[in-house]
Amino acid sequence: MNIKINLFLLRFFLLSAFCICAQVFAEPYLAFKNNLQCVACHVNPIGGGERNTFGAYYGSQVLPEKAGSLAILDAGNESETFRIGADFRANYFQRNRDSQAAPSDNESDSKTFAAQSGQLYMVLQPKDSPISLYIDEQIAPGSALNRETFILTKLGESDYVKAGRIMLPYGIRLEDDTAFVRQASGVNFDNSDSGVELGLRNAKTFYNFAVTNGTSAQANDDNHFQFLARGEYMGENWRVGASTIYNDAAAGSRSMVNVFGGINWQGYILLAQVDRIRDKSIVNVPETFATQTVSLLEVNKEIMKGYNVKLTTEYWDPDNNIQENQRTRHSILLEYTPFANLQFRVGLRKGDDIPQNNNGNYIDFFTQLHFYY
Amino acid sequence: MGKFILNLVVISLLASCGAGSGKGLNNEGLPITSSSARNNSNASTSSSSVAIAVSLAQLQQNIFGAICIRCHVGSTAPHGLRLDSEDNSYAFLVNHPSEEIPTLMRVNPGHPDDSYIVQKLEGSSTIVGSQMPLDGPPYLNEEQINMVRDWIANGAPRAGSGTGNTKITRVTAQKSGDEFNASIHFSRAIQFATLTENTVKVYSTNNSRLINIDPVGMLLNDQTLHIKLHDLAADTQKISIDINQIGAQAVLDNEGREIDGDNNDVEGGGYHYEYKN
Repeated sequence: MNIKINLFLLRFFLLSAFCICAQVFAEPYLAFKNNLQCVACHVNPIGGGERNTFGAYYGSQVLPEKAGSLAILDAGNESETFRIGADFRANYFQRNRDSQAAPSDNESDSKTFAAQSGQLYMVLQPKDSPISLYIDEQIAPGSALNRETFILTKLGESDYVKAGRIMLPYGIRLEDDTAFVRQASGVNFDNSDSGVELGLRNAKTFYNFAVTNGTSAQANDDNHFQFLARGEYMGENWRVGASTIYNDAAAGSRSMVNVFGGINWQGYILLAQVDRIRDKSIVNVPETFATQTVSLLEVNKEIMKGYNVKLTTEYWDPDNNIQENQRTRHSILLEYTPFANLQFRVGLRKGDDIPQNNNGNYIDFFTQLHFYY
Repeated sequence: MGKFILNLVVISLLASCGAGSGKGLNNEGLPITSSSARNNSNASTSSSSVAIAVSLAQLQQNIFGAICIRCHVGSTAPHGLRLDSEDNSYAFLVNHPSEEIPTLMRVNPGHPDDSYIVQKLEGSSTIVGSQMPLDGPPYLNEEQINMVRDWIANGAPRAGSGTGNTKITRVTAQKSGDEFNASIHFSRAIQFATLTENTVKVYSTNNSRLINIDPVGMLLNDQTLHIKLHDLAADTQKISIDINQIGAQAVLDNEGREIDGDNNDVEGGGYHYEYKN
């Protein structure tokens, strides 16, 4: 009887939290779909990585076709001072080259199985303390790689300061590091940076300010820093935002700016981002600095419980001063979450680049098995 | 506000119309007439045109500037590794400690196996983090990785193809049934006439007995020597290949120099390879 009452209370608490919580999720379309901020599901306020109790609930009870056990949904919560989590993605991948664009026989088609990435997360928080230690360690493939380790200090209810090795909150934090906006900006899960970040949140807005080395290396390589600012506003079923980064490197500055937004329109979740990147250390055309324009449009639709269809179209102009050098990439994929902690993905992707660049002209087929905990 | 979002969507859609035609551009997507902006003076236009020796200019045009540059560009390049020009590629690679394993140089001239860039490109089990390029698979193919290996083996020269000794940079072998195939890749083109039964010796070990296999089927394709064996005994335990061993005649590269078989940066010396069942 007591167990039944406890389960009822837990369900009531989580559903209440779901309804009233105005903060955060990490697979960005889910945040956009539910009109929440990333911190609703994740310990890290900017999303990704370790999930909190509500994130565990969402992944166990809301996302899958068949809900998991409520009794163990937050098994990663080892104690009130220690929480663990994990992600692992295993892929099958097949690439067929565009035979017209890539006639050279050395650019053969390829097939492979791959352990794309495995992460372990740990959060240590002394009891009743506003301070916590967050660790995100990549354990596969290859040797271990520390992606993030930072001290998070809460300032009041929802503001915070982070210090250590952090990932930057720039634009929409897509899971796919190969997305053009992630590649071109260099802000992705493979490239964290050392520095400090201030986050200011309320129900409708989220502002981030950060100062980092700007090298994504262990240490700075000059006496200049990188500066970031990001702002996001959430409406009823939409949001818009902008972010900018200025890296004042001795070798030549880089400035990046983007605008992004999203809307939940009759169950269709649209995400869009446009970036402009200017490097004052790269001159491809005399008397001009290289300027890139990159964009992403993503549409998600839950066709039935546990099934999500995702369409993306991307564009990349690697230097606006040069004509006819643009790349595009279009994808369609199905995400199926049959039960808690496991998701299948299957998709097709077409890449188009200038004919001279064989690597950019292809059709990919891929499947992915994603374990999340 | 809805109008703003709609505009954002429309801009994104319009921008995704199609890829560029590439007219007037090289492999890197740069205007051919201004290719000097990235110092491509020695670059070939095809990755297959590497019959003599690889230069940094070729690597820049075919690999660093065409593939790696998607991320390794500008002042925010990952791990501070900029590959957006020949000058930067050289400065941030050659004799530059790797960020992830500081005891290894990104490029250790003359030693491709001890160069972290090769390990990252090949996805060695010892690397930290992901295999490169980050958007793989697919990753670089064997020919592309051989270009990097050859350049490093030849001393990782800033210009031209270098004066380092010619070495064996990669061996792949496979036994299937009673057939055995091996591919031995040299860092420069070599003289086929110097590949004889005296300079290339192949042995099989059957029941602990060493058997000299002669003649051996050999085919030289550019810089790669292919060895094919037929009708191997079912109890073959091991196949050994010796090249340029002491006392034997020498394998010479196209410039008439002995290959550096033992990879000690001194001309001459034997190379030994073993394939075990």
